[in-house]
Formats: sequence, structure tokens, C-alpha cells
Amino acid sequence: MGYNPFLPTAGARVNVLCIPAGRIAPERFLKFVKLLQNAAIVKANLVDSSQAPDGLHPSSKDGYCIFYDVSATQDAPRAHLFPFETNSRFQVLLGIVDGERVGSAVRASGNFDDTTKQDVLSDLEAIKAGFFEQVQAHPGLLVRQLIYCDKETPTSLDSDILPLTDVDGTDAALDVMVRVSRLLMEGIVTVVEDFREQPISMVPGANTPTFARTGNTPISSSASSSSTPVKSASPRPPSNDAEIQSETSRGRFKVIQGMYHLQGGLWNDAMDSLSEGASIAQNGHDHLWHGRALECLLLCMLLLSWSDRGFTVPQVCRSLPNRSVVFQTESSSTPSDSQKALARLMPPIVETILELYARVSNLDLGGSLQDVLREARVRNVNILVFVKRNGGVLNRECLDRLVLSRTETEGDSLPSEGEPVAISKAGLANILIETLQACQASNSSTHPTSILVAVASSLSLLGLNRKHAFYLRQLMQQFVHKLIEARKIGAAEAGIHPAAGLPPVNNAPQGILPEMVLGIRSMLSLASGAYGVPLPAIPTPRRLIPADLGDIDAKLRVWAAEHSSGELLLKIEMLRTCVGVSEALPDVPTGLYLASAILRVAKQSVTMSKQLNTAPPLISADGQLRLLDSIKRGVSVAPRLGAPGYRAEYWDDFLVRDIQVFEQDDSSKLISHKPSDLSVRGSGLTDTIRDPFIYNPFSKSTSAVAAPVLVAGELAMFAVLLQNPMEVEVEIEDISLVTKGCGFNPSHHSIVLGPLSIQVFTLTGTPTEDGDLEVVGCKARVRNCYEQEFLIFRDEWKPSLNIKQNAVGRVRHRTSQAKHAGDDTTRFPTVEINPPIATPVNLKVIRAQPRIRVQSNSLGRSAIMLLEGESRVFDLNLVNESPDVPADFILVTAQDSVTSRLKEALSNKGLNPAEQYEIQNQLSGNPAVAIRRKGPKDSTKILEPGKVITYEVTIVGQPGLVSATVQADYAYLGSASTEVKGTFYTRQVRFPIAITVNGSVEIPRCNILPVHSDFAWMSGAAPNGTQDETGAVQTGQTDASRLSHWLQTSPQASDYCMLSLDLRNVWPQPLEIDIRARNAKALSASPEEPWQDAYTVLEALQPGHVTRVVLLVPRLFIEDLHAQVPNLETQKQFVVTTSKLSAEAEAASRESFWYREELLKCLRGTWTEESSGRHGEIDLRKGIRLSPRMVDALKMDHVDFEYVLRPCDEEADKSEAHANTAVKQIGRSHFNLKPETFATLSVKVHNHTQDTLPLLLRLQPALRHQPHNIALDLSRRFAWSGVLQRALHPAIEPGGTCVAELGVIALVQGEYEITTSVEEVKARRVTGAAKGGGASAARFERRIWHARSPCLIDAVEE
Amino acid sequence: MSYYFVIISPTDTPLFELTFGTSKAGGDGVARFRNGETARYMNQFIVHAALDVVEEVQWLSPNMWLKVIDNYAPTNSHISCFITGTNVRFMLLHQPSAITNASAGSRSSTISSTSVPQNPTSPQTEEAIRQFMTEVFELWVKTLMNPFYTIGKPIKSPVFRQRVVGAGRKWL
Repeated sequence: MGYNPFLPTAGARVNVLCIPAGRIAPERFLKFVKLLQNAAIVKANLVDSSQAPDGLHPSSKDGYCIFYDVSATQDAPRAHLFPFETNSRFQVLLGIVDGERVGSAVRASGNFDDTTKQDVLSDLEAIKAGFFEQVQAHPGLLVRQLIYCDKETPTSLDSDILPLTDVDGTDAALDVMVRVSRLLMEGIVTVVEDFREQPISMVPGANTPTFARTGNTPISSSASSSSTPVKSASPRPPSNDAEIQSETSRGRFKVIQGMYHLQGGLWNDAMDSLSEGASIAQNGHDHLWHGRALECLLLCMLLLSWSDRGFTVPQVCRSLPNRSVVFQTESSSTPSDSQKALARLMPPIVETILELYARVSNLDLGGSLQDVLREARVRNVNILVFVKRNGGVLNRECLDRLVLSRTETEGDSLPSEGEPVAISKAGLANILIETLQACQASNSSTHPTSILVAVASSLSLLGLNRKHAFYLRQLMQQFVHKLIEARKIGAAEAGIHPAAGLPPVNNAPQGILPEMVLGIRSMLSLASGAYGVPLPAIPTPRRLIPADLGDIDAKLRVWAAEHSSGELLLKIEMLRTCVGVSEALPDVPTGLYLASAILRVAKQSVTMSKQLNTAPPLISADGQLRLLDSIKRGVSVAPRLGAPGYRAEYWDDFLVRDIQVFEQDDSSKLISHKPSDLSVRGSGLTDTIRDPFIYNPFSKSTSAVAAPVLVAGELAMFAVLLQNPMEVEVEIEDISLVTKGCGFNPSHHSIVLGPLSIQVFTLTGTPTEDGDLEVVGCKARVRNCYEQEFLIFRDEWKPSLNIKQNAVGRVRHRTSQAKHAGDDTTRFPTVEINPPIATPVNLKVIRAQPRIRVQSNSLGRSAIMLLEGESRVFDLNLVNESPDVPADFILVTAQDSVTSRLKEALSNKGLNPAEQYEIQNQLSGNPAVAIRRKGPKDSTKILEPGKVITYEVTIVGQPGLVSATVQADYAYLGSASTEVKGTFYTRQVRFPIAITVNGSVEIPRCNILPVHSDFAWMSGAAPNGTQDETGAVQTGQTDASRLSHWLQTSPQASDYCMLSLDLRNVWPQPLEIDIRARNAKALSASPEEPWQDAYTVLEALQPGHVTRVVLLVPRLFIEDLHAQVPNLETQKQFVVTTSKLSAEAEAASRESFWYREELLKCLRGTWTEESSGRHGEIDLRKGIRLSPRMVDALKMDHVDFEYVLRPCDEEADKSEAHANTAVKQIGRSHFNLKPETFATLSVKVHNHTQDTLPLLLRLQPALRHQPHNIALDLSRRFAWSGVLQRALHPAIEPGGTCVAELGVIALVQGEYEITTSVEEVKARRVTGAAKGGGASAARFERRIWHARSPCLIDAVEE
Repeated sequence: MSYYFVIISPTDTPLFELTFGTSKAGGDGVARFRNGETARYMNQFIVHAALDVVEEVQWLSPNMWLKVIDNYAPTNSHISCFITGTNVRFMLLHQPSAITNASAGSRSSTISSTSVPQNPTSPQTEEAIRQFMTEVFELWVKTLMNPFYTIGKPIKSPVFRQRVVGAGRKWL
């Protein structure tokens, strides 16, 4: 506060200084000063008119005011030119007496009697004496006054002391000021009287009288300035009165008089005096005083205009030198007219003043005159600046601002009605800048700075923000030097070496330092805001900065705003300057904040790209290092400088770019399951799965990585991706994970982030309980920075591209800067950004799980060699290694290469049913790996910690088996499997086995041959039925003959057929083979027990040799030949055949299928290697394939025919049975018949089916070996009695027979045959199944069976 | 004379910066600014401060070529401006050499009054700068038409830079 020479109305203000008188607390003192400041404008009509100079009526004083500049400080080193500037030093000195402290000891006793009053009075007397002694009177001092401040006014107060009760507040203060004003008026009168008739030097205060070059009158400067009277002083002793006041001095006196009147609120008087003085000075070419007079005149007119009074523009203003402007209005008494005149007058009058001052620019009286003049220049320009700020119009509002010196504006209001004033913005700026440049010549050290401040603020008011910013930066730079200098001086005064560090400021007076810091901070904010980087309020020290998305968003907006407009390098440079200022101050919190703000701004991109190279920060690595050093320094000295706990804010909110759970090793990997998966497990604890076709959810090899699962109590590892966009290393003293949800115990780490890099670090932590866990981010404490929580920002963030730029409108930060530094809500222009998205990691923590180890005691190495068909058994132990967690779910399954290949083959849709069955059968019937629980089944279902469970694993050598794995899935569910709701997780241990399978016995070829039914007839031996069928037949020549013998002798020989197998030994050692075929009737026996009643072939196979073995196998009867090929995969309920085969081919294939299945049931083969004791099964399935011909040989028909031919006269025949038989059976259905002998052919029809068959029998005699037309020409060759086609009645029961007879006679010798066939009487429904699922699902058909062989009759003579 | 040329976007972001010296009268095309070390920042600050004047002046004349609009006395720098229709400003800061070269001495004193490298305010200099600006404007329009250039982003094309350097050599 105090006198502000740059205020437009500075000349019209009375300078009041308040000083404490007696003892007073600082806050009370400031409070009273505040009270007085509130009453700083005193209406002139309140001041008693009798005290005012005559010529004014009290009534005409309405609206006149006296403006006081009440302050507690004075700008001491300013130049002081007394009569030229009457108010640059305090004119009124107020001593403030604290009533509470006066006689306080007395008051404490509580009794007010006369003695205490006396004490108070004597106390006051002492204060008064001290007050008047203490303050030296100086020429401009008009009033010295003590003010007694208390709650109540003592009655017996001296009249010299004005009472100020702080109960009434403003009213009392106003009252005091009114009374002070009266004293002031007296003082003015006195001082003006003193100057009257005195010679007045051009510039007082100068030691050597120098004269204006243009001044025409030499003026004595003998009038000592120190002799100017003050109120209490005795009137100035008359000095050299003989000297007659010159014309110039008279003009100057008039000016001085006018100035005092102006200050005293007597504006009209002032006008008169000033215009007179001005015209005298103009005539006398006294440029300095002329200019001064014009300046004051302008002020007068402004004030009059402000108080809504009309005035007459003085002649001296109307005819300005070098101005062609002529004002027609001679006298304008109305306020609006005078305002209009003023508006037109303002620019030329200011110009004239500046010109006049410029004329004396080479006048240097002790150096201070030019300083004062430069101040005056700026002041005058400021008048126009205020008008320009108001939109270039002069109106009430503008005058208000001017006079009451309000600089703040309410938004950017459009200029309202008013008188336009022609002002060029650039012109004003030029004048200001020129003044600024000229001030470098000043001797004073403070003057250029003050001018710089004034110019910068004026430029800002003018709206030239960039120029303002430019000079503000210069100011900041100067500020740094000045502060360092001041510190050095201060250190010298305190007796400390400046380099020894800064003295602690803890003992600094309370209340002053924070205020100063606040002031500096708002200045810094203004400075940084000038280049578009507004500085928010410096936050108080915090222990931890929590992660707040809104906060990050706001910071990002700032970043985007800073990067979207203006030049970043300038902004950074400005911030650096501000850092310099705060370091020099020292204001550690601001310095730290700004340094981190620079680093924040300098980033070229917010998130670093994971693939591409990220652009380095805008400042060099050295610069970054310096900033970090400055932060380090700041943090280290902060506690000593009264700012404990302050640290920098970390500059990168996007530190954590990704967090992932480390994939655990196989043994501890968790696999998720649905509760329904439990259903595959049986009721027991450790069942294995038998059915290969049931989907086994535990055989999945992939674990659910998408939603990783942690186990309570087990250490979890996290891969954390951190970015460092700076080119310096970032030392993170402590970093740990931040989680939400269930309990988590993160471990703390200390890491160093490499420069300009994006790195993965491993952080760990242990969840302590089960539940949902959300990893929010990391909490990190970077060295010298606040501890801060960082969210995970996985995606890159880029500012949205602004395609269309507003061509003209520059984003203005002006209005926001003007606001208080404290509120940072509307500081930034709204930049549209897409907010960054934090991506927390959601995890599930399940309860503690057991650990199971798998081991095998019986299998040394986990690699075995097998021959095809060989099997190996070993034990597998599962050990629960967990110290306290049992396993209540264990599922042991196996995987092998054969199964997987077969399953793959099964997935091929093009398989025909027989092939599919083959694969399915292999999968289910011959698994390569079989697992069985060993030992007694115990009732407990829990594998307690430390316990062992043993399994027996059987591996069968199969071609293609190269590897197998026994895997155990286990978990601790904690409840019965039916009660498990929701996903559960298992772990898996695997026991891999490498297997080599070598070939043993191959079957390259097989064939089925019918046994001719007439073997036995050939030998002529009668069937005796006594040979053994059971004895094992040794192969070899003898065996062949025995077989032949058996065939010839056995009556059932026709029920057999021969299976010939070619066997090759592909193993380099000889193998003994044992192949057995049993009768189909023995099928019911269990597969395990050895076959007793079987045909056996034993053979030694030499390596590489092919040996053919022949087996007798029973012919097979199959009831339903065309039954559908079964599908073992029971899950498929509805099977639609996709086969493209014709119905016949389908029927054939089914027939073949069923016969093969039946055949294989009757066969079994094993091999043994004598040398090593290896043994195994021969895979007959692989070798045996049936062709239709083979099927034909194998099958037994549904309806069978048997022929018997008997002579007709049986009696006769019987008698001569052995002598001359008319009929001789030579084969099973081959007869010799004498020609012309009556015989009866009985055809026995066997029904093998399960149905009762009503049949139609057809017999067809024919000639053998003849073409068809000849064959049937039997009329003279063969005759029969009866019908050839007849119904067999009754219908044949299942398993029953029916005999039909036909009398026949061969008329001539020849070979005849009688073909037989039966046909069903009724058509029966043939289902679609029999037709192989063809489109014609059902149709009616009569089945026909033909005899396998016709009845052959050879008619021969004996 | 030393030159600092900058293209400034409507949002005050510099799109293209070039520092060069005169090539006339035996100049070697190397900038020698008076403020030495701080030249880079100072020039930018001075040009930035001059934008205020541009905003004033641009409404006073229909021309794109605004001539010398501002100066900064401490370094004797002058700033010329050329403004495009989209409010992109071409700013040229030109600063005459600090001291007349001793070797050039007498010769320069005779010819320097009007020559481009010496006198920043002579009509010849103004004309040269106008020509330079016009040529750069042409280059700039061509750059804008490049589909790979995003408006409002710095111009990184080396061809553009090379051509601007060429224009500087040709006219200044």
C-alpha cells in the first residue's frame, strides 16, 4: 500500500501513514489500520466549512471527497521531490495507541479511581512525547495525530488524542477521519500560506540549483525544504522576504496550491489555481511545472466528472501547444457536456503532458527527477489504459474504476454507452515500453523494477497479454537476482556465510511470512499463467496422494490444454524462471511443485507406446537432471526452512501401464471347473474315469488364464509394467500393489526405472483370505516425491485430434488469471479430451489348496519299451505334501497318444459306422493306459496331509503309443461335491511316461474257407461221433491229416469253416504263438478264464517269417443280420446315418460287420517270447477283415433245408437194403437213383429264426449243367407226383421243422437237380433299419430263402 | 543480419522454426544473434510478445503482408509478419549484426545504408522480406495440400525446410 505513483489518481490522494505509538500487538495494529482504511474516502461536506478556505459554501461541497491512502508502510527509497510532488511522502501521520495496553497493569486490578486515571493519563503523556520525538517532521507533513483505540473512550482524554472505539467500527473510523480531515485542511492552509510569496525552485531537493534550459528566470533555491512548517511546529521564521516572488515562482505556487486543493477535495478551487499556474508556466516555458499543472487539471476534471458536476474546460487545456484541436464549447456546465469534452480532451492532454515531460528529459537533478517523471509518464498513460480497458469509452463505470482505482473487472462486459475516446492500444504500449527502456539509465536500483512492474501491469490491463507475459518474465528474472542479492545481504547481517545455507524462518514474525508467500505465489501463478500454464494452489504436504480418476483427468486436461495451444518451450522456460524465483525466495513448496509441473508439461506424450519409440521430453536430459537435483535439494532443506513434509508430486500419473498375474508353473496352475464337472467323478474319493466317450472336463490341457485365480496363503507373482517417460532414472524407493476386496499382503520392493523406458518388474504379494480381489494399481514412493497411488492404464492415451481449428479465436486465459490464485476450478479452458480408462485387474482368491506330488516306486525311469500287445503294470503314489490342507477331491485320469489320435479320427464325420465302431471299440475296450486303485477301498474320502494313495497303472503296447500321461486333478473343496456351487478350481500333477512300442506279430492276410459238407461221404465212413474235439492239435503234417480225418468223420463238420491266418513275426526274436478258436456256444463264459473247449493252434514264429495257420471255426448264425451297427458313444441319442451307400451295399456291410464281430468273439491269440518271458496278445482285430465271400463261408442260413430221398416201396427196399438199393445217398444232398424207380423226396425245412414262419415251398426239378430252356424240358425225363409249389402247413415254429414230400421218378438216366426255395406267405414289414436308413423307410416284402445247395439226383443204372 | 523465421498456428503453436543468417553481401547464411546463448529462447519470447501487435494490426489493413510490426530495442530486433487467411502467422525476426565487421570496415559503411543485411527498416529490406514471405506462403500452401499433413501439427517435411532455406538464401 502506501503511495502508488502509478495510480492514475495518485496526485489527488492524501498520503497517510499509521505507526504504532506505545506498545501494541501487530494484529491489533493491523486491525485498526484496516478500520481506518475502510474509512479512507471522506465526504468533504462532513468537514467543517469554517475550517475550509473561504470561497466555498458548505452546500456546494456535495460530492467532493478527500481520498486517503492509509497504510502502515512507506516506500522509503523512493525519490522525494517535495513541492513538486506534495504527497509522495506521508502527509498525515497517525500514531495508534492501544488503549488496552495503556496502564494495563492498573486495569488488571479492576478499580478505576482517580489515581489509576492519572496513571493512564501520565502513560498517554509519555506516549505522546515519545511519538512527537520519534518522528522527524519533514516538509510535506501536515498532520501528526495520536489515535486512542479502545473499546471505550476514557472520559478524561486529552483533546490532542482522537478516540477510536472499535465497537462502532467503521462509523468511529469515519469520525476519526473527518476530524483528521479538519486538521488536514488547517495544515493545507498553513502550508499554502508558507509557500505564498516564496521563490520556488524548479526541482527542490536538488543540492545544486540547476535550471531548466528553457526557464527564463533564475530562481534562488535558498528556501530550505526542511523549514516547511508542520501543524504543531511554530510558523516558519521569515527568511529572506526581500526577494520578490518571480512570475515563475508565482505560477509554481499556484500549481502547488492547486495540488493541495485537489487533495483537500476543493476541486473547483484547484481548477482555478491550476489553470492559472499552467498558463503562467506555459508562458514562462516552465515545461516541468506546466506538465504537472496539466496533469493535475486532468485529474480535477476527471474527479469533477466523476462527481457528476459540470465544469468549464480551462482555456489552458483548450489551446494545447502543438495541438490543432480547438474546442468550440466555451463553457459546458452540464455534466454530460463536460464529460464529452473530457473524453475528447483526454488523449491530447496526456500527449501534451508526455511531451512536456519529454522536453526536460535531459534534465538530471541528482538522478531522481527523471525517475519521478517516468513514473508520471506511466501514470498518465495508465489513465488512458483504464479507459481503453473499459472498451475505449468514458462513462460512469470507467470513471468509477479510475477514481476508486478498481482494476478487477466483472467478466468481459461489452462497452456500454459512453463517450468514445480515441486511443491506440499499440501507441500506449509503445510509450510504456519506451519508458521501460529509458528507465535502465536510472541510478536507483529499485526504480527500473518498479517501472517494470507498472508497465507489465499496464500492458496486462491493455489486453496485450503476450507483451505482458514477456515483461513479467523479465521481472521474474530480475527478481531472482534481487532475491539472491538480498539473501546475501541478509546473511551478512545475520553473520552467516551466504553459502552456509539459509537461516531458519521459524522465528519470523507470525502473519507476515505466509502473507508474503501467498503474494509471491499469486505472482508466480500470474507469471506462469501468462504463458498459459496457470499454477493452482500449492497443496499442503500429504502423506499419500490417493489415486483419483477425476484428479488425473483434471491433470490430463491441463496437459492437453498446454499442448493444444501456445508454445510449450516458452511455457517451460517461464516455469523454469518461476522455479528460480521460488528457490531464491526460498519457497520450497512452490519450487517443488513447479519443478514437477515442468517435468509433467515436458512430456510429449502421456503414455509411452509399448511398441514404438516414444518421443523424448521437450527438455534435455541435463535439464531434467537439474530439475531432479533441484527437487532433491528442495526436499532436503524443506524441514529447515519451515516447510517440513513437503515433497514433489510425481510427474507421471501413468506410471503403471499394466499388471498381470504371472503364469504359475504346471504343478501349481489352477484349472477352473463348473460344478457340473464334478458329476463325472464317482462317489468314491479317487475314482478314475472309465468311459472314454464321456466328456472329461479334467482332461483339458489349457487352464483358464483369462481370469487368473490366486490361492489364499500362497505367494502370487505379478508382472508390473512401469513406464518412465523421462530421460533420467527414476528411483522408486518403495513400490507395492494396491488392492481392494479381500485381504492381501503385498510385499514391498525398491526398484530403479531406466531412462525413457517401459519396463516389467515383478511384484509379489500373498492373499490372506478367499474372496474377490481387485488389483487397482501400485502405491509407489519415488525418491523425493510424495507417496502416490497409481492406477493401471493399459491403453495408450492420445489427445483427440482437433480437425478444424478456430481460425481467429485464440483461447484466452485472461479472465481466469485475474481470479484469486486459490480457486482453481475455472482456471483452464475446457479442452475436450476422452478421459483415460483405468483397468483394474480382477482376481479371484480361493481357499488354501493342498499340494500333491506324484511319484512311482516301481518304475525307475519314466520310459518303457513294449511290444505290441504287451502290457506293463506299475504303481503310482500320490503324496499330499501340504502341511495342513487335505485334498478331498482327487481324480486320476490318463492321456496317451493313441487315444488322442483315435479321438481325432473319431471326429472325422465321414467314417462309416463299422469303422466308427472299430475305433470306439478300441477306445473303450483296449485303452492304452488303465488305472486302478490299489489296496483296499477305504471309506475315507479325504487325503489327509502327509498321507499317500497308491494306484496301479497298466500300459498296453499299441501301435502309435509314444507317450502317455497319468494326471491327477485334486482340490480341497471343503464340502460335499453336491454342495459345490459356482466355479471351483483344481490343480493337476502329471506323470508323463515315454513309451516305445515295437511290433510283435502281424497278420498280413486272412481267409475263410468253407468245409465242404461232403467230406465225410467221400471217405464212406459212417459217422461214429467218438473222436475228440477238445484235444489241442499240434500243427504240422500230422495235424493236417488229423484235421482232415476229423472233418471227414465229424457229423458236424458242415457246421465249421476254416480260418486261415498268415502270421508274420516282426520282432527279431522267435515268438511262440497260441491262437484259439472256441465254439460260439461258449461265449457266455467270462473273458478272463482260459478257454477250455477250444481249437488251439500253437506255432513258433521265426523272425521275419510268414507262417500260415489254419483254424477251425464254427459257422455262425446271426439272427438279425441287418441290425444297425452300434454306436458305443452313448451320448449320441439320435443318429442319422450320413452314409451314401445303397441299401444293398449297406446291408452287405452290416452283415459283414456282425459276422466279423461274432467271429472275433470266438478267437483269441497270444504270443510269448521264450527268451525274455515277454508275452502279450495278438491283435486279431487288426488282421481280420471279411470279404463277402468269406461271410458266405461263415454264415449259417435262417432257413435250412435237408433232403432225404427214399425209395417208394419201403418194405421192398428194406428187404433188399444191402443188395440192390434203388436209392443211394452219396453226399449230404446228393443221391443216386435208379431210373424208373419211384422214390420220395422229403424236404425238411428247419426254421432257425425266432419267428414262426408260414412258408410256401417251391421245388424246381431241372436238368443239371444245361441252359435254362433245356433244363426245364423234363417231360420225358423226369416226373413227379404232387405239386411243386405248396404251402407248408402248419407254420413252422421257431426252431421247428417241417417236412414236405414229393414223389419223383427219373424216366431216363441223367443228372438232375431239384432246387428248393421257400417264400413267406405273408409279406412282412421291412423296417428302414434293415434297409440301412434309406429314404423309403418301410415297405412290405416277402422273404425268400434258397437252399444252399440243391438236391442232386444222379439217375444211373448200377 | 540474422533471421529467425517461425510459422505460428492460430493456437500460437509454432509449426515451423528456422534460424538463418543473411546470404547477401558476403554473408555465410549463419545466424549470429546478439544475445548469444539465450538467443533461441529470447527470439521466441520476442516473437511471441509481438503476436499481440499482430492481433491489433491485422484488422487495420486488408493485406496479408503486415510489414514490420514490432521491434525489441534491447537487441535491436525487428519483427515482420505475414498473415494468411486462416490466421496462421509467418513471423520473421530480423536483427542486424551487432558490430560492423572490422575487416568490412569502411566498405560496409558506404554501402550499408540501404543494403538488406545492414538496414532492417529500409524499403529494400522490406521488399526482400515481402518476396521471401510470398514464396514461403506458396510453399506453405503446397504443404497444406499434402494429405499426410495434419493441420495444426508441426511441419516436419525436410523438403519444405530446404525450400524455405532456399528462399531465405535467395531473398535475404
